[in-house]
Amino acid sequence: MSIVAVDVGGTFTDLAAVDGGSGELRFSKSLSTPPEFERAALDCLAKAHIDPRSVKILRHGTTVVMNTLLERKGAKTALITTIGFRDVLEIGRGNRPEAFNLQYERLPSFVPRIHRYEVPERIDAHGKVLQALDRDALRAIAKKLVSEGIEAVAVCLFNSWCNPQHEIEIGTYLRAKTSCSVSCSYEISREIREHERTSTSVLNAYVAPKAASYVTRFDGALRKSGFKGQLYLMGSNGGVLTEEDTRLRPLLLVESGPVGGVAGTIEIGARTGLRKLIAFDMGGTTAKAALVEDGEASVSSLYWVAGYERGYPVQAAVLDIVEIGTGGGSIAGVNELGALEVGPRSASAVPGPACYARGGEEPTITDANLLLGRLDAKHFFGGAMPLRRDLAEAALGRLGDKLHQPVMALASGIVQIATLNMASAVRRVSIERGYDPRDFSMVAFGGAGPLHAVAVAQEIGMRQVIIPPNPGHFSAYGMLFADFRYDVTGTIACSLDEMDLARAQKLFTELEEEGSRQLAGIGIPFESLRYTRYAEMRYERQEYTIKVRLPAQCDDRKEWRRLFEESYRRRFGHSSSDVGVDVVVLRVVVDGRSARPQEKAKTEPGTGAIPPTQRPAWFEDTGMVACQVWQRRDLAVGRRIQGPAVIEEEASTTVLPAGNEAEIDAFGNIIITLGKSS
Amino acid sequence: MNAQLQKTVDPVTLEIIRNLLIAILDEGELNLERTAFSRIIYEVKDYCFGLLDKHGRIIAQSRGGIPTFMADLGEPVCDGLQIYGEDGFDPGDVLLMNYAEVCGQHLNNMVLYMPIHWEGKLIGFAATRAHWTDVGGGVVGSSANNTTEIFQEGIQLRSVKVYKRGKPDEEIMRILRHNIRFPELSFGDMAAQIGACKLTSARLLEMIRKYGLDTIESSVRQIWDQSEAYARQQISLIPDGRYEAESFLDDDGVDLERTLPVKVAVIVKGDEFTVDFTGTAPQSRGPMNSGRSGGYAAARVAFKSALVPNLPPNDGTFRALKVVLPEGTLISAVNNAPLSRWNITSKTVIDTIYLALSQVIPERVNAGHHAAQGTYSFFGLDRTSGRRFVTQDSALGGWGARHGADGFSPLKTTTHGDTRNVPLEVEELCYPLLPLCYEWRPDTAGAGEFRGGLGLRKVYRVLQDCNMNFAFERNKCPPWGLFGGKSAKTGGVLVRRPGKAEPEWHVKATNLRLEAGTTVEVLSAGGGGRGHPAKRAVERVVEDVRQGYVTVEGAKRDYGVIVDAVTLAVDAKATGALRQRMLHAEEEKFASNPAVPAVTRTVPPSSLSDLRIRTGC
Repeated sequence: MSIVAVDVGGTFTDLAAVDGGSGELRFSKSLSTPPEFERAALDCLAKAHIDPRSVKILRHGTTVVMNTLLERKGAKTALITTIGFRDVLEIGRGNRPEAFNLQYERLPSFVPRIHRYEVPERIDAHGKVLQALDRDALRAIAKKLVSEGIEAVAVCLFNSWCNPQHEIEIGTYLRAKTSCSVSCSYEISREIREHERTSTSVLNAYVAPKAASYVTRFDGALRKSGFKGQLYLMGSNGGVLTEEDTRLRPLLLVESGPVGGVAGTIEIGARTGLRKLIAFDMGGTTAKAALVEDGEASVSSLYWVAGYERGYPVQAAVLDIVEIGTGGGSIAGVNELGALEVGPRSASAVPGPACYARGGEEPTITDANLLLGRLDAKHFFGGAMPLRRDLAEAALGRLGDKLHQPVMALASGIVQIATLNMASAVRRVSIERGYDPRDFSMVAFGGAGPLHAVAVAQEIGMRQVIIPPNPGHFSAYGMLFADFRYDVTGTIACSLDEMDLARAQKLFTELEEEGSRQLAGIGIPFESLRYTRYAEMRYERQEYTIKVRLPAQCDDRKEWRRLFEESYRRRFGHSSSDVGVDVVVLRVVVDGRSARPQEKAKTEPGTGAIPPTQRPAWFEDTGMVACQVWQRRDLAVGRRIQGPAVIEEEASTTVLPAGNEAEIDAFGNIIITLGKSS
Repeated sequence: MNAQLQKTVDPVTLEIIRNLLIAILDEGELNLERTAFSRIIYEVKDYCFGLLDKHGRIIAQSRGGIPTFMADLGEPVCDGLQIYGEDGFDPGDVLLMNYAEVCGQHLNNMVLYMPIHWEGKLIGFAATRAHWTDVGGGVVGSSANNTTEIFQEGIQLRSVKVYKRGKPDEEIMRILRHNIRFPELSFGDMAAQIGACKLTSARLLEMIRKYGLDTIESSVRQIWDQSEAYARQQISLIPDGRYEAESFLDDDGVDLERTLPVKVAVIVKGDEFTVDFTGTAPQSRGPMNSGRSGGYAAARVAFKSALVPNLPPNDGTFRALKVVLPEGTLISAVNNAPLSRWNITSKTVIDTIYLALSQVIPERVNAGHHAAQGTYSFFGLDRTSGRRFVTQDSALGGWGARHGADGFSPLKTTTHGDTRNVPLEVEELCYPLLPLCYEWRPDTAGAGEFRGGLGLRKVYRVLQDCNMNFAFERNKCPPWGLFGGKSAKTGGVLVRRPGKAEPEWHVKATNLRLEAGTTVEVLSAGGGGRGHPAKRAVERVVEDVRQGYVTVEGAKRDYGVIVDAVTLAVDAKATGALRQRMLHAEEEKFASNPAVPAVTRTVPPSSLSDLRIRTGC
């Protein structure tokens, strides 16, 4: 096996592997083994009969950074900042997203005030040094860091977004003179806004030692078992990172997990030729949606760890994923108003849905699906885990009594409300970014995604849903295809009319060189390199910028403006031709494409001969009807199925309501055309 | 919507409709925030957004934005309904409304609303209220501290159709454009407001197509009823009684010697909750007034945040709330009274309602918060660009101690929601200002067993000659403590002019001239404490000293804890003795004048009903 991807999640560790020679694919799954996550990875290799010595490349998605932050188990961290500004971290922005909550509070800072040190220095908003760096003060701080037993230090100076020279000097000094792990803000973010940038560098510092030891340990365990290849990690921006990258900027791993599904969606786009896709992933506790256009995932430049309401801002490129608390294990209950509510409380893996018979007593979406005939009690997880219909019925019955609703009406209601919640997540990644979701095809995966995908797509008015093979393993599978990707930015901050075009070109060239250097550092040959230029632009006096994609050469100011207004109109529905435009940040994304693993195309006919079974199942438009139940492995390429039908496979079930047609394409995808029946 | 419809929607469909309504408003809100031109909208979130029925009743509102904006979005639309009648609106009409007698808020708060039609009939409105940077009047930004009539505060538009059937009325646009200072900003904001209304209207029509108008109308009615029933249930948990409290505002901005009393009586009877403002100061000559709707909005914000914080604000939420508000008070001003600082008053009114409620539901309310709008703006001509500039923000400060917890800091006020401050790096980049410092002010929190949150100190140097407007409050009646907790240190602005030894202290100022090189310190107040400070755990006091939230002197003076400045070692014996003396002195003070700290006494619940609280200020 030449390329292996291991996706370590909270509950399961997933493996996907492809053999470079034969194109053979393998999958396996194990229960995660915190804190020795490498054990589950080795277990997965064994289960898939893969000899670690045969692995050339191992790609790894990890939750270590997110867990370190959420569990507050990072390093003893200090902050060095410009004199006068040490409280910027704690002060934040003063907003109270829970507008009527008098008990509101934010999550506490990761650096207590006593460990926030101020150094005399000042650079102005145009990069000019107003006050030189006080080196004596720096020396004193360095001593203090040592005497206080500080393990990690963040450096974020006022206005360092436009001139990092003092940060560079401090970073160099501390790396030489102390054993602290050092995170300078300019190494992660070159963008304006002092609180957000400070928060970003503090989070990076806080997780750095833990992330480094995790990677060392994971890598070590693999090597001990004979692995001699390269280990890469999945970055939140959708690209692959080297070990070295993750030591300097471990925060880039914050959303490492969901990257695989998005990369897999991009690959499906490349194969099918579809330009506009929405990745839809539904698992046990949440559902996620992300947008992919022309082979590129939507990436946002501001993200909140632990949620916008009370959490911490991260100013870095993170895949623009909308996540909501609707998953198979989401609990249906009655809220204080006496109204039916589905999620965000979840039965998770333990105790799990009532029908798992592991002690769960509250009804979940999975229980509703079981009662509605959409899941088969006997064949769940390939028959490895039979479900208890009686327990599901009892759980829904208890809720039905409270709401005076019969069990089946309640079950269908739970599924419909879940559909709506998920539809709103899909809408948010599309409509609110100025896209019409009806122009997109949905790629649905995760254990529960294929159960609900068509209903969600119908709710929104989408016309096509694609269920890839092995949707329960799709996240790990997708990791096999992710490119190396670096987001490099520089701030230019001036009005478009006054912008020196030559200077912009020069900055772009420098950024491209910087990106190439980073790629070259990886030391593997790439099939192709791709540079994409963007400018973050806005109308003057606005603060939000939008990302405008520019052609490789763009020497015409009018063209910059035209492209900006085009993007602005798409996103916001209006634009003004008489207002000045600012260019704030230039961004280059460098993609290094390595050779795509060539998997064996699905050409074997299946048998096609095995007839479907029948059972009654519920669909939104028709209610309970008799429908055909197919086993996916029996479906040959080109096979067409009309809804109503259910298609089962080992870790997932696809629900096909009446009036829709499914067809197996040459890659083994189920392509569902909505509103089509022959 | 149609009240005589009595169809009952099943609980599942009801939830579907409820979720959809929330989703479409969230979408519209995000659109508004992301497309607005003014920082005060997209950064400060000084707006609200909602759907109203054809009678102007609130169907649902978006989650972000400003609480006091949400509470009375219906009034301006009702006025339009009276003017035009139900048949007087066409699809594509866009109306602007800031008419003071009805809206009751400063004229910057521009309501923009659009009718929604289904099958040729009016079924409701999409409405947004957003703070426009300037609407004309005597000062840049329109909010002066010394106006004496509304006409000095800008242009008034009373449900004016700026678009008719989707076409802009160019004549009205010209009137507007040449009566406000930053038309390019406000016209951009108007476009954002229109975009949000259009998007949400379109989505509502999609809902109607799918579920039917009668199902949606019936669902809305049921959602209102549910909200009402829940609110009434929460009220009935409170013992019946009359709970009074009183506080006051510093001055009206014109007559600086006279304070303005705020009187509140909360009367709970069964499942009815009445807020009676009788006795509150008459309307002021200066601009601290709001119209009637200002008084209602304050009562609604206090009611909702203390009793039903999780209930979405809709027509049903407030049905059990009655407001008694005589005409012509500070919060029910009439006859073209000036309103530009209305927002300062509302915070103290709300805080005073909490104070009244602290007698009976102490676990649900906090000690007094900084309660200063603390709006400040720098403006002038930027020599570098040759253009007029204005930047404005409002203060973050400490909140009062909570039940069993310190007050949180920093936040804007109770009438702000998801409202962010302006980043200092952005201010430096865009304006001739050099930020020098942004930090906590130690010892500003009201001391207590649970202390308040801290105030802040923000320092700028102005790089060019310019002007400043600002308005702080609660200097004479500082954020109060509860149950023996102390009041907080107050806020204001300290101006140090080049070549002058003595700094100037200001609380409110209009067109304050600043020469290049002047240093301006914007200081915000802390929040009040709760419980006697001598009862605060010694280790918590020491930790506050260690972090620099409390000074060594403050620990001794305010908490009776004697701690070494270097080693942080506590002199346990001396501390014990000092704390005993402090507690004893408090008892004596109480014995000699029981009316002042009345809240510290434990009163049996039966006699609480007529307890009257006077704040110690």
